[in-house]
Formats: sequence, C-alpha cells, structure tokens
Amino acid sequence: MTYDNLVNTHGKNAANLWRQICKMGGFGDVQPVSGACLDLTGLDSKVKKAVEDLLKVKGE
Amino acid sequence: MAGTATNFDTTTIIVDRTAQIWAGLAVPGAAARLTLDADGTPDATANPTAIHLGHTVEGTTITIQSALTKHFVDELEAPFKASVDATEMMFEGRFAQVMDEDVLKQITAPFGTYATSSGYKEFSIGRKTLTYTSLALIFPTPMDSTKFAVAHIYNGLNEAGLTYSVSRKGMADTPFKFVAYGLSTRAAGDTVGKYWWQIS
Repeated sequence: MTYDNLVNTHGKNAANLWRQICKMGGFGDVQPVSGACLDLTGLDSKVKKAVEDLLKVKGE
Repeated sequence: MAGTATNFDTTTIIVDRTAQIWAGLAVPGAAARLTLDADGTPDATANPTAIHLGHTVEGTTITIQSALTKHFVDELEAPFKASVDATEMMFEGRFAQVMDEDVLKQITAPFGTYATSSGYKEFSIGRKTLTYTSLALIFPTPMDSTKFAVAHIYNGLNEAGLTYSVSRKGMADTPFKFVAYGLSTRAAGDTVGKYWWQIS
C-alpha cells in the first residue's frame, strides 16, 4: 500500500493511520511521504486482518 | 579419528550474472521479504512504486559491514572485547542512463526537485526535505537461474551526488552510493536491510 493512496482515501488522517500500520506490521518508522510504500503481503494473517479493519473503520 | 568434510562448492560462486537495481520498493513487514514475481522482478501489486534504475557501467557492489571498536587493557596485548559502533549497508556503482529522470530522481534525492511541463523536464537544485527510498539489487542465483538473490536496503539515500562528463569519445556516467539508514522501530536485528535468496 502506498502513502499516496492512503492520503487519497483517508485525507488528513493518513499520516496517523500510516504510523499505526507501521507499528502493527513491524515495518519500522517509514516516513509518511509521497512515494512511500509498505508491503502487506508477508504479514501474519491476523495482523493483515487488523490492518484491513483499521482502514475500514477510519475509511470515511 | 576421522576427517572433516570440506566445503568446495562451485555452484555457490557468482559469475556471469546480471543484476538489476530497483528503487521505490515497498518496505516488507516484520519477518517478511521483498515480494518477487517469478521472473525475479519486484511484484507489481506489492510494489506499485518500484522503479528499475537501468544500466550500470560495471555492475553494482554490495557492501555490508560493521565498524568495531576494540577494547584493550594494559595487561593484555590483544583486544579482549569489541563493540559495534555502526552497521552499514550500501550499493555502489556507476549509472549509465544519466538522462533518465527516474534515475536522476534517485541520484539527486538529497538536493534535486523534479518538475515537467510542456516542452521541458527539470531538476531544480537546492534545499529540500530528505526522502529516503527502499532499494534492492536482484540477480539470479548461481545455484539455480530461476531463483533469485536479493540485497534489500529498506531506507536508503544516495550520497554520491551527480557528476558526469560529456565528451565526444567517452560515455557519460554518474556514480551512485546508496547508503542505508536504519528504521529504528523495526526489530533490532532487521533495521537496516536484508540479504536473502530463494531456494527450491
């Protein structure tokens, strides 16, 4: 998932969500900047589900 | 008494392999690796912002090293212990495609801002917010050319600047030195990058 897409879908909440996802997935402190990208593919299924749920809840 | 097995294995020697250097990759999560397609390129779904950086003059050198401080005491002539000052990972080489804006965006990341409009492409030079990129060197393994080895810097920045000469006889090229910066909140043993390869 790209930070740019997150900005498109979640607007001002994107940076906060990005940091939460980085923490949940063990990505580290990847900068929430244009061009940044996280690979959710290799995440544990429970973590992946939690990330998807997070994006749904705060999606609007 | 018995002999001990030797480890001569020419299949693990890398010769005659072409590597690809990529930037703009997705950072993998904890305990995960870069997602590859079967052809050895980054999977386009998992890495939608991946950019291939094209030809190099003489390939790419990978360096992964630690700087150690040795500790001494007066009574011993040899160091009794070491501590790690720094762990570095870097890719170095020379890019040939010096008029490729995708290459230049990575090369000039610390100081260049790209723009384009009708009739021009440009890089303005000056102060900017530093943005790091996730880079990987990917090549077929010597053991099996359908499997791939990957050296992945999670968070890198070019330190070599942009410098090339234009001449009638010579080929222009510019050096690169992508140095890893740690992602501090990852697992302690996995903050810098990963060197791994596929097996059957």
